Amino acid sequence: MTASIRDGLRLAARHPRLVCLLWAWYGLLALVPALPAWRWWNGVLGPSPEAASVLARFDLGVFLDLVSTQGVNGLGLLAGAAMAVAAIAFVSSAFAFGGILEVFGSEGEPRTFMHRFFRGGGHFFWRYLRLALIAGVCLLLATGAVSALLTGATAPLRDSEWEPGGYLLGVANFAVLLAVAALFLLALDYARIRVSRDDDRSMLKAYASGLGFVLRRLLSTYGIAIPFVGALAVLAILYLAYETNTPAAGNWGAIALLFLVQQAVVIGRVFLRVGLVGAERHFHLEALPTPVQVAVREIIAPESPAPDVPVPSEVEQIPT
Amino acid sequence: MRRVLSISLLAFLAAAATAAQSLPERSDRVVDYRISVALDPVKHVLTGRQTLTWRNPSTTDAVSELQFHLYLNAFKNTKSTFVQESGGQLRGAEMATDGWGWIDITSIATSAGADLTPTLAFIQPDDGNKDDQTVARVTLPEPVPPGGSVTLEMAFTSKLPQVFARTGYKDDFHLAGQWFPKLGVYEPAGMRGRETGGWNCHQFHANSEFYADFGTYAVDITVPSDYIVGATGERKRERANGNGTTTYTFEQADVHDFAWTADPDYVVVKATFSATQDVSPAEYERTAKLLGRTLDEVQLSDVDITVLLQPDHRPQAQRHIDAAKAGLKYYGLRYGRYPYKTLTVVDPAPGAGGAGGMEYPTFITAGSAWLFNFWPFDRIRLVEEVTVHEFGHQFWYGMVASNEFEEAWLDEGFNTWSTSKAMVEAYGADATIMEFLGFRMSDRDMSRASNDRAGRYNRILAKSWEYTPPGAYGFYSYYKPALALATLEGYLGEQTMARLMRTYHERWRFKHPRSEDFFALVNEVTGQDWSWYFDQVIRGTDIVDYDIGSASTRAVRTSQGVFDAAAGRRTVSSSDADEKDLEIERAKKQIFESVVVVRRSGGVKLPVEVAFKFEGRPVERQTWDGRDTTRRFRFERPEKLEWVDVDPDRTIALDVNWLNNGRRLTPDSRPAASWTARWLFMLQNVITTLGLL
Repeated sequence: MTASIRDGLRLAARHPRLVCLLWAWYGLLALVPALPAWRWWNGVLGPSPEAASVLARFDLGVFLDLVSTQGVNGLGLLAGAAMAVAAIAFVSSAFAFGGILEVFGSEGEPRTFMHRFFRGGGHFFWRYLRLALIAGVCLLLATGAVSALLTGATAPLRDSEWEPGGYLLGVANFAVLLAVAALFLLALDYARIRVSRDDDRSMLKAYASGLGFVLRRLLSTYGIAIPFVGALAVLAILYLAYETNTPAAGNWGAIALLFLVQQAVVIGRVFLRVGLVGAERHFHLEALPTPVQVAVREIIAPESPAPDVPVPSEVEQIPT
Repeated sequence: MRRVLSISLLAFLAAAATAAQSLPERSDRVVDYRISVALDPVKHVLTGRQTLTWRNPSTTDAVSELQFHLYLNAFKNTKSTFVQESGGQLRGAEMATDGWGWIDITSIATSAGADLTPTLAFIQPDDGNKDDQTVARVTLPEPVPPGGSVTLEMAFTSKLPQVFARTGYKDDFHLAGQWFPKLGVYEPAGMRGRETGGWNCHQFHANSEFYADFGTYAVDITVPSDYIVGATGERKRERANGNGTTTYTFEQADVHDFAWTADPDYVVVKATFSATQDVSPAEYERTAKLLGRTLDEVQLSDVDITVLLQPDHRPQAQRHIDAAKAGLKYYGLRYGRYPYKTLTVVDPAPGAGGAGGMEYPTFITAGSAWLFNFWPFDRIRLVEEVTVHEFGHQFWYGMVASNEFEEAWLDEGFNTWSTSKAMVEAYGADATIMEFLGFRMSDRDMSRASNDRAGRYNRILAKSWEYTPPGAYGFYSYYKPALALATLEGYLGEQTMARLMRTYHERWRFKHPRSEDFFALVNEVTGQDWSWYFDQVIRGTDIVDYDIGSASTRAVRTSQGVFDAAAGRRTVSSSDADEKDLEIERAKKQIFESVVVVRRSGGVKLPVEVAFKFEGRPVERQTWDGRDTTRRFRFERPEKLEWVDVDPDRTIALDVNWLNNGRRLTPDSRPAASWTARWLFMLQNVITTLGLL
């Protein structure tokens, strides 16, 4: 476990361009709903002396007046744009993971980083999208079923006169749901790694295999993920501490500093996620060693087929 | 500015001239209740007997019938007016389908022994809903003459509902509100503008609280001995009955209702509000100066505070006590000494939130949660806000006692405004409600949050069940009146407003005033006719919104063309003018023409100040009466206009939008940049999470 975590972090650290590319892509997507917001807010807040209070702190009164100025549609449009972009981000995750795993798997290849990333992203895109959809459906069904079970099982406790019981029950239910959701998300990660390694075509089989992999090594797979999630939590707490305890962004320097801190946090998040994928990949390869390091083969047409040598298929079947 | 100044000055002088009122020592004591009640904690049934004496307050009318509130019948079935109007839910709590409540008068007779039970009949004075049994009348064998009285012996059984709307039970927790047959108010001709005398006894509505007459109460409450009891008034006696029950006797005069609670789980926390230790000499002096009163007139008295707390909320005991003391101090200093010796604060049981946030005489319910024991949730000042607010009702609902059915704003609105001021005094201006992870929210934010352009379909002065939709009651009885009073204060100034409110409270303590009485007092105290304000804001439906139509500043160019002068006709060509302009610019002697168009986008016409800031000059203010829809201001100055702002002190709290009040001629992009950075960060986090799921 420790070796995998170490390897994952090392992999992420060895690929700063990968981290930066992912940060830039998702940052670019985020700009789609951010730029209209800037136009709207700058148009309303910019000329208003009342808006000066925003520089000292978040002013609820100004926010409510802003909504009242432009109507709720302004917020509705921004929320709509944010949701559309979030959907694009979800779809593009299939491409991103193809790229990440391809870059990891093709270290030492002379091809450029960008070539390898886009090659992997393109090659696995549809398969990873199918995997993500399968995982999403499984996750929804499983968490729904577990939630229903928990609701039924804890109904007598909910009316308990011991008030903290209700909160603790809520936290416990949430933790169980989180653990179940994590199971399906970890299975998705390991299924992707398997597909990347074996170039599988059956995504149902791959996802089932991912689930099996996680269930057979529950402690290790969760044990690898938890430190990364913990580091994310620390990052979030540090940011909140910065936001709440530093002087408000009253001048351009402070605003620029806030922006830089925010971007450092986002880059940190991406780094940790890439590191987790690296750690999971290391663990998967260690647990299921394979004789051949598989990366996507480029199809090279032979100059003249040798009758006595079979033409290699594009897909190489590797036993697991 | 001149007009606003003159308003303030006149108001101040008139206020200073207003004779100091003295606080009435006692109410008219129209009713006297002697009640014995026993709680069956398993069936949640109260069995009671009451001896009720009613004095006819009229000097002219003989009264031949009595009208009673039987408000627990609101929870009797789904056909009651209350359930029809509320849909079985109130303030987020839902009515349980198996927790019905009702009240039966099992017998009623005069002290002479005449049985009145057969004359008992339900009436529906508000909506004619024949299924509603929340008001009943009995016919007396002979009319009560003016100034005469009648005594009735009554027996009743009350089944408490499972609590969702102020009163009821949840497991062992019992909150008995509106639990006994309570007389309505007989209003003689002339009272509250009535032309003829008659009963004012409304049905129980979803959006309404109460109205009853002042009197004296002595109540024996019998409960299992392990139950802890709190109630209106002072506990006078406690008697163990030897059968596992104990009887507690509570008494209180000069109140118009009686509520009590019983729960074996309460943790009892006691404290004393000390008029000498909890209020400093400097605070007394400051208040006396502000109100123009002597130190004796603003002197408070000690009050015993009892907090009945849920065991899991023990760490919040001090917060409840501090909030109660903050209320006793602020309201007592500003409006007059709290005249009772006790205050009981009830923290309802978990799951009984519907009983929280309610006021009864000397007895209030707050509401909290276990989570508020801990950081950062302890920075949400719900306990403080609710405790101060419900305590504040003692001064409006409790002592001034307006008719909440017909003019809810005189209680809820006055109290929302007062709460806001008390909270600012105790906890600071920006974060009276919440200071949570850098997010702050004040009472003013809360009131302004609901004040938008949609708020133009009802008027403040309306019967509480007639607002459309019914949910509008909250805005028109709490928040808009609070904003209207804050705006009035903006015109009058803090001192005049403080004196006005003090005088209003003193003059009308224990007397059931109506809106007209308040309006008349404002005119009297200020020496001006404010009907233009109240007609628009309290009786009218429109909104207040001022904004800037346009603002520009540019250099005045040299005029071109043919000009007649004493020396003869002179022609200034375009190039001559340009040359002259260049010369002026080089000499830095330019004159700038600044033109601003201020608009009144709302229908309410209020005078406003407009502030103008020219480069390197102090802020200049002018006044606009706001009668037309626009006003154009034009200046020729050596300085450029930097910004213009309507109502720069934000005294018109009723304005639905303050963001459009001003205009900078050079926009400042920092506020938008600051928000956009945060919005972008939020988006990036969401998108990165989904994109790397």
